[in-house]
Amino acid sequence: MSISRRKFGQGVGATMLLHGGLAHSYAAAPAQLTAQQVAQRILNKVAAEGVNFKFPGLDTDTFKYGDPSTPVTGIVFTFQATFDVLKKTVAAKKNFVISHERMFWEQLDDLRTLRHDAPFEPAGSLETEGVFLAKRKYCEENGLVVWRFHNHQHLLKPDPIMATLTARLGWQQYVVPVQGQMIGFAYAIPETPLREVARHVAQSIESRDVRVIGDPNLPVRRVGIGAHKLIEILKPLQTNDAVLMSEPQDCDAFPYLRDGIALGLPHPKGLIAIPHERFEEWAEQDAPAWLKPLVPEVPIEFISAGQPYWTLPA
Amino acid sequence: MLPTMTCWELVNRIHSMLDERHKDAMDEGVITGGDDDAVTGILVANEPSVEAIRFAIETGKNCILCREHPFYLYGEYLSVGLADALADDPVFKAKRQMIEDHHLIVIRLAALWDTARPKWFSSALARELGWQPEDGRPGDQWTTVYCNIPRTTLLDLANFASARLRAKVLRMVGDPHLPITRVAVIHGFAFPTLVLHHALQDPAVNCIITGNTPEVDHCTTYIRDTITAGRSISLVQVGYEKSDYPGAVELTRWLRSVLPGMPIEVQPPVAELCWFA
Repeated sequence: MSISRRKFGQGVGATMLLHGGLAHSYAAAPAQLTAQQVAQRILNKVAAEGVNFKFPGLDTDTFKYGDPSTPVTGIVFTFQATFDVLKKTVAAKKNFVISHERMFWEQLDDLRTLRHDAPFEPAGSLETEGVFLAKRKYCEENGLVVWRFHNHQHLLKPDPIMATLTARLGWQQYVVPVQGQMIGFAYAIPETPLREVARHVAQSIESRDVRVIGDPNLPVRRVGIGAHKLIEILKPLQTNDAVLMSEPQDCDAFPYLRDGIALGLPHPKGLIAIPHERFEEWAEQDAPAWLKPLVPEVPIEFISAGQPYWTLPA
Repeated sequence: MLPTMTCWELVNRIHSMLDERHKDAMDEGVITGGDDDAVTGILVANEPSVEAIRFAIETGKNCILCREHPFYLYGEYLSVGLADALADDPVFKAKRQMIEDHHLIVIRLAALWDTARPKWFSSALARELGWQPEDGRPGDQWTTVYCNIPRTTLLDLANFASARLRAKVLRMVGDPHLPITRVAVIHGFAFPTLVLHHALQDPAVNCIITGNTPEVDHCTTYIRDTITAGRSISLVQVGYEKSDYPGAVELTRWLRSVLPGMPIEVQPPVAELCWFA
């Protein structure tokens, strides 16, 4: 008796199901994988690469909202779980957000304030704040779970945040190691005026919000890199022609630069201040591809948090 | 003409005239100089920069009254560990030497101004923008002032503020076409998030104008989330120095009224430090 290929294929399929194929497919069903399991796979991979994060009381990488035992329908990587990102996650039919930055506007997603200067702090708490409650309610109504992947992500080798930024800048060949600094490398670039370096940075990260301090004609051969506070960029400022800095605060690093330049000292000379999101989001854009081999069971995508500011036309 | 006034007498007089005494905030008070040093003239400079020091020396002022710290110790939020890190720094050492060589007295009193006259600096900024700030309620210690303004859009408001303050490095959050009729004005570094939250307790406010805020943690993200939550609100950052300069001008005027005969001057406006790439 002859049998068509189609009937043969159907028969093979039925045999697979009956001989354990069905059990196998149930075990791999996306609905069974929980947020906790995804987070643990990530942390296991990080540990397997030799990263051992031990900063008691300072671990940012915890669940920020939702039940970790929630089955995952899909994963979103993002720079920051803003309210807008949460809404886009729901629209994309996913329920687990892995966010690099904090969700609720305070250190470690806690709502504490300062201690020493507490008498000068404004009184009150954000725990009953309308937007805070609305964001939490939205997560609850939509079954969202949010986990922060910050400190462990930075400890990967190489740091994907720095690697992807370097790739955006097209400066991979210019990377030189440095010792004793928070970020252990700088860029030794062909001599370029500061205004051109800054323009290149702005174009590479697709942002008009790139603020520069220093003589536009300053010859730049070496670019340091640092983040957020003067204490964190002090050494790069002392050893480079210009420093690429993520989200400075005007009242902190800027006065130091104003003085250094006014004094005419060899350093500091220049600063290129870029938005935090533009500095770090590129790694989250690449993160789905990084995670997929670890978590093949569910869809993974990147959703941009977007740039915070717009500027007036030049 | 006043008899010679010592540093201690100056600080005491200011506290008395303001009717406010409290323990200094972190890294505030008399930063350089001694209590018995004679004050021969005062320069009011929000940022006691090298430029300000040079101007004080040129104009014969031996005392600088300021909001910021001469050695970059802004406060607990930003400066923990910085003093030690700066110990051998060339900029710190050169600046300190300059201050010592000219026996300058540097007095930082930011928390005092904001506690004794909380609306002072923000009101000055509002007036500089041509607006009339409302009187605060008795006991209102927030630095925020509120102004009804002629209906405009966020984009037009930003252009207006840029021209008025001669500031080019403005940054905005919100729909450029958002109608603006009521503004909350907060001088300086608007932090923490509670400060912005408080401003939004006025449901009619549709724009907060300030010097600078933290971007990702705290304030700017809070405003972005508030917009997503449905509130018609926006944020304009004019730059920290630009937002505080009008307050320094008004403070100088007040000091002249309470210290007749003392040479007192405000530092001329400084050039904007940043430029956009």
